[in-house]
Amino acid sequence: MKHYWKSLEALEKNPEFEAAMQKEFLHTPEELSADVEADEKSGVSRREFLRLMGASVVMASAAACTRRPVEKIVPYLNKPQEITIGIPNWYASTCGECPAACGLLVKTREGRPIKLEGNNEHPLNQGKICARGQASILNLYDPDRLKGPMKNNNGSFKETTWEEADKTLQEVFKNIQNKKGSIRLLTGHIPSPATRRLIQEFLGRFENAKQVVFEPLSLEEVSRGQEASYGTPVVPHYHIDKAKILVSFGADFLDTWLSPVEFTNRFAKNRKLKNGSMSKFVCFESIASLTGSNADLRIPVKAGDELKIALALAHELGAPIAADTDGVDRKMIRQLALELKKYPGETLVLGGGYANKGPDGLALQIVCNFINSVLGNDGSTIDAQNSPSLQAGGSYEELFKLIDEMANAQVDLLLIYKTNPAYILPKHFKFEEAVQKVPLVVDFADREDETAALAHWILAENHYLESWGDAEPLKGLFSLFQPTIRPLYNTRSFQETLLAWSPPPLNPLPQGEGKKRETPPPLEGEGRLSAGSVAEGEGWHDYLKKFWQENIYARSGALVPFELFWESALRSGVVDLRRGSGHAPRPFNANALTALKIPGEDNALHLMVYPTIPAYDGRSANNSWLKELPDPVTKITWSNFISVAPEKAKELKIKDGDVVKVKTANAELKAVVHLQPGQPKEVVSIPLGFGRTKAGEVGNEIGTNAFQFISKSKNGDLVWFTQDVEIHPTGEWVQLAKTQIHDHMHGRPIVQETTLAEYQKDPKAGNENPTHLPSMWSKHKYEGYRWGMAIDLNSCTGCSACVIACQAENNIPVVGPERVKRGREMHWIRIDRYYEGDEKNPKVAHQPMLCQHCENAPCETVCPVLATVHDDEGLNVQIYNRCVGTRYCNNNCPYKVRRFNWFEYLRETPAPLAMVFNPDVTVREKGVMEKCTFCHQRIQEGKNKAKDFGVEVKDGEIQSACQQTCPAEAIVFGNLNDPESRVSKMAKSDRGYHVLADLNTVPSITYLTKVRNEG
Amino acid sequence: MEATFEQEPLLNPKKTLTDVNIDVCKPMERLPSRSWFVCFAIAASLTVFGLCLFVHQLRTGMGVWGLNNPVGWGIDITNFVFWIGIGHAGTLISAILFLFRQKWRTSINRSAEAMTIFAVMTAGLFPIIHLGRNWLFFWLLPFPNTRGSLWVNFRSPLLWDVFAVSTYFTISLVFWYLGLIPDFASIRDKAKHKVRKLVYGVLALGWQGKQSHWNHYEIAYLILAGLSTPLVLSVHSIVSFDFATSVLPGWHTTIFPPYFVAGAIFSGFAMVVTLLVIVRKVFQLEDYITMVHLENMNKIILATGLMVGYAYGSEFFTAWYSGNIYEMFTFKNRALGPYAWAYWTMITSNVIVPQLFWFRRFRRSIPVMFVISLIVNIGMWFERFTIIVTSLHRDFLPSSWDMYIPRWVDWGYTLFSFGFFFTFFLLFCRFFPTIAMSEVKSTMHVGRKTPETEEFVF
Repeated sequence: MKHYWKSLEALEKNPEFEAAMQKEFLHTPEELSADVEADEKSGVSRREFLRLMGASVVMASAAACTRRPVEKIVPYLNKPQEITIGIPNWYASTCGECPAACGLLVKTREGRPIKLEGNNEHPLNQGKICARGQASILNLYDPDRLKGPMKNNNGSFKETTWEEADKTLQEVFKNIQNKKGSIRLLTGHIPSPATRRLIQEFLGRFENAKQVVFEPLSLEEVSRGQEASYGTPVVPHYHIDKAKILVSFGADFLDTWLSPVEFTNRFAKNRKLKNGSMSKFVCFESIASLTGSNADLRIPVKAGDELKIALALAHELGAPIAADTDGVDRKMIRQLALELKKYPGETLVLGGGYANKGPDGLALQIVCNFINSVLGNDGSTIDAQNSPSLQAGGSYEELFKLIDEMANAQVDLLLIYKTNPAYILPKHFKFEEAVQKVPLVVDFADREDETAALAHWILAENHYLESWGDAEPLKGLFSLFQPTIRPLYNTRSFQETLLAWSPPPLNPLPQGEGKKRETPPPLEGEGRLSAGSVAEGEGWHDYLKKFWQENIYARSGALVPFELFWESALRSGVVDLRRGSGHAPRPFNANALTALKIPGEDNALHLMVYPTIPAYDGRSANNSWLKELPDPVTKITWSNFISVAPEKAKELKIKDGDVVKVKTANAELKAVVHLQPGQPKEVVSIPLGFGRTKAGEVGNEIGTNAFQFISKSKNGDLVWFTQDVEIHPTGEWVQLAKTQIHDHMHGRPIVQETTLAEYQKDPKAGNENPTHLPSMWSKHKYEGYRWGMAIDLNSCTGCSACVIACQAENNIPVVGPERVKRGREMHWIRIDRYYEGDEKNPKVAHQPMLCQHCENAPCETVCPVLATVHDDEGLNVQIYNRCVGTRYCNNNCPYKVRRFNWFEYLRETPAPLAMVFNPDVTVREKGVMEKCTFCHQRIQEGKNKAKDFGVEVKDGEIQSACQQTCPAEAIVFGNLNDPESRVSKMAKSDRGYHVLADLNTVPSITYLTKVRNEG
Repeated sequence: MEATFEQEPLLNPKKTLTDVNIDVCKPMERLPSRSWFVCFAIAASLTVFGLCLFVHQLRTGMGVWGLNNPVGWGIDITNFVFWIGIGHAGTLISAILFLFRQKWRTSINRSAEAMTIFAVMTAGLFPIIHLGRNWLFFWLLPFPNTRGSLWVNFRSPLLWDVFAVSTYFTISLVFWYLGLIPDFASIRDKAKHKVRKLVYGVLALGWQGKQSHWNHYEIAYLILAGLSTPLVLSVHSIVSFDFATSVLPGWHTTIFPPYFVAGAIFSGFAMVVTLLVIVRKVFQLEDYITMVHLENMNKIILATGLMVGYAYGSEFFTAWYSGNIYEMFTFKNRALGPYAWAYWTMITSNVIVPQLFWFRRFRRSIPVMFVISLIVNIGMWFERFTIIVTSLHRDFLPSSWDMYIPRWVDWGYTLFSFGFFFTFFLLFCRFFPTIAMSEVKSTMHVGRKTPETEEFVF
């Protein structure tokens, strides 16, 4: 190969050149810079500088970066199938708050229940629930709930495990079985057929085991009255909607009696003035109840006089016996009898509410039954055979027997479930002493309440939203409970526990069921709280399913496989297997009537105890929403009181707020005086459900425990009213936390009303001069929707369900009694209650009051920062972020419906209560004004849904929370721009008026006049 | 024949020009007395107490006040209107009386203006204190911001307030300062200490008393007087709009602007009397603030008191004549309701007690006028309380009626407002000439014959 040379040096093979040829660069940068450096005689070269700097930056950053642990975040990629963030899931369930067992829809967001609504498909409550039902969701997040099973160690409770509890108790059961000891299970009324069956089976394994049902507000006298009159003990189902004339002798069916949501709904259905007519409601009562306040004719009577008046009415209708009706106009009774006779089979006479729980309660029932039989109501408005009510139960007699047994040390094991006798039974019944003689007491309770404190074991019970279950409120009407959240704590349902214990059966069980329960379900699954709760959702769920398969499914005659039936039952929440409602009238046992003893004259002062909507029997005493819910009649929050007629108070020289000592033969307690117009002079009354000592932080030591005044009659009944009560002023005075202090309208056109006769002459009656004022300004233009509301004052009973529904929907804080006294309650909707006329028996009007979303809103012009403005759909919107809190808007609001955040209420919300918050609604900061938004979030949701389908929002698709729950369907919300919508029709009705129309605020809420069916 | 109406001399005729400078500057040139320190300590601690209250309120929320749902404004806005009212006399004296060539104003205008400035400062705190979210008070100002298109609501009287009060404060401050310039120069010239000379020299803005200085000064003063005259009427009119433009019975009345202005002058003069009676005694300025000044002010108190009384009467008449049930109820409730004590305190103090000034004897009695001026101020405070609270606590729907029971915080802020005001006023007395020296000199008999000596005084 030829070798070409490139230069002379190469040819010469100069060693220097040779070396240079080996190099990649003739001059390395270093050499070059060294040259420059040498020239400049500088200290550090540019490259050197850069190199040093680079190194130091790297070192500095290396030194700054410690190696952090790797924390992986996971995107929401594999989302749970049923959950979409931001979209609520609804589950059909049943309300477990009271025995009425209304159907529920539970709204859950991201796996937690946040709101309860009535199940539209449930035939009883038809989508409505009461204030207590609405509030029962708060009990789920109650911070005072037990976090796990507890064991009593010499007086103090220590947390224990389910394994330990199960092990110990199973030993106990074995021992009892061996020595043939006695077990008593004391429960409240259990509306669940599957649970009843389970209890039966469980107790069936022991030789001497019995269930005793004690429901403090049971309707025992009703079923006993039925037994005496017709031969079978039953609580009938009352068809209030079919009654054209309704007469109540103390039955407070719009308060808490039997099935108040259903009754309110049916009652209001007849008050809508369709075809210009409405029902007539006559109420004889000895306290001032909400029911009485809705009567067309309310007659206050002395306690116990209901019987005499009922007898007088019965006499007019042909009864062989009569009684004096001192103080009540005979003519009126005669006229009532004549009217009743006009509508055979279309009237209803109710008797025996709590106000009548006395020695004559049974007699009153018999008389009412007689009247109903005579009027042909039995079988038409009263259903005692096809599907009677199963919403009440319990036997005082059995309870007293149990106390005796315990006191005689005849009970080896006492199980208590769903009842709180230590709180309810007065001291002189000696329940506590009796319980202490029982060697082992186990209470299934969700808190360490009064009864649980006496127990040796407290087995922490689930909330009903955490458990499976079923209910049968009417015979043949079944509904299901679905757990909508995994138990928050280490709790287990009663049924689960019974199944977990499952001692070997004494008797062979119905086939197919025993096997499963012999071996407890395997411990599996991750994230279970403990071995004990492992069975959650396994054993009891299976049992329930099987029960339904064997009973309800079998009876239903459904053609689909059971799994499909079950799924559809869960989906709709209810299975209706009732037979037709009418039945032939039953023969009335006339002997029952003639055997009645007529009580003599009695003018002593009576003490009456009665349940109210917020407090009921005190079971949810730790629920702050209910504590702050104003009593619908007295508007008192946070405490109970003793209602005294103003006339009587003058006599006794006491005034509102005086603390008095109330003394009866059995008890002596302090109570705060409230002067109640319409209260009979001879009666003082105290609401039940207060004075709890171990309800929790919220409910402890508030008010008077009126249960202490209960006594036992000779024939074994519980007597709710006491004669010969003494009232002594103590000299103390306290301020009652009332949300409404002034009861008179001062002749202002706030609630406009008329009588039915006037209305039939002119539908504009009571609303003759509607104000139409000219305006200087051009009107707002509403091109799409214009939201508005109509409230029918004739339907509204004042039950206050809307107040709690609004509170739950809109994250409204609870402020506490001291702040209510200062006038700082936060409810966005309130029920104003006005009295008119004679103080002894005033006419009452209830008026829901909320932001009127005025067209010419006075609040809007005065806000200096434009935090409250009008939107293009007619809403008066409040921008919390912009509000600086001048409170000028509220000063200028004629309706005073704006609420100011005086404090940072969120800071006062203990965990986990904040879990109940609706994520769609802002939680407001301190210093910000707030008010009703017409449930803006619901409007937005409805509009978005409609937009997805490219249609307009249909009438009724968007419901405000208050409207949704209103049992009376008094509130209607909708689009005023749609002439066909219900709300615009109501707004144009002759009865429609605006409150304070002469101020020209032009509210978006139209009220419909109240019509009283007098005369 | 000579005029029979001999005017009583405004000042002690024996005083010379030099005396004025010496007497007025005397309190500034010596160490403050012990009582000054005591007073200052009390006032300053009340101010600090107010600051603590404010911190408490910021932490806890507006709920520390006794306010509630129907009564959104109580003592907070009462104090605001009260102090704005106090701040009225100053500008009236300096501007309107100046335009009307009322020479007697010269002895009192400096203190009255100072009082105005401090009263408006005090008043201005309350709208900020009463906010639920005080830290966002600047949202009430219309300035370009980064919060989107958020702007203020020019329809809201509260916004008008912001402008009215800030304008009034600015003009009053400038007016006051302008009047102080020649006096600062006098102090500067008298000053012996270097620092003192420097500070007052800076404050005097190089005033040398040249003809051209005086020329410009007089013109500027006249223009400012002209500018502030309408403000005297506008500020309280606009403050009254807070109430008058609302729908509330008892607030919604057209009589409010003149009624508020009269009331403001009434209370403002009462406050000036209260302050000057003390100042002239403590600083031995009896020769400069003479009975003539005090009597003139008492006459104004009497006149404005009558106007206020007329307004009270006409309010009742209008309520009755309108036939409006809400109006009628509100006024009945004022006189006979649960706050009747406040109403009758107001009537007694504002209408009945000032009637004593019909008598010359009382008009010229220091103890009587001092007590009456205090009573008038109490009465005017209760006037605002009555207007605000009795209208709010029972308005349209009886269901929402409630009571307002002020708590210790409400009263604490009221004490604070006095502490704050007097802190500044006491400092003013120490460091600024309490009497407008240059202006007083113009009313002296300098270059004129005094009645007694028939000699020219220089």
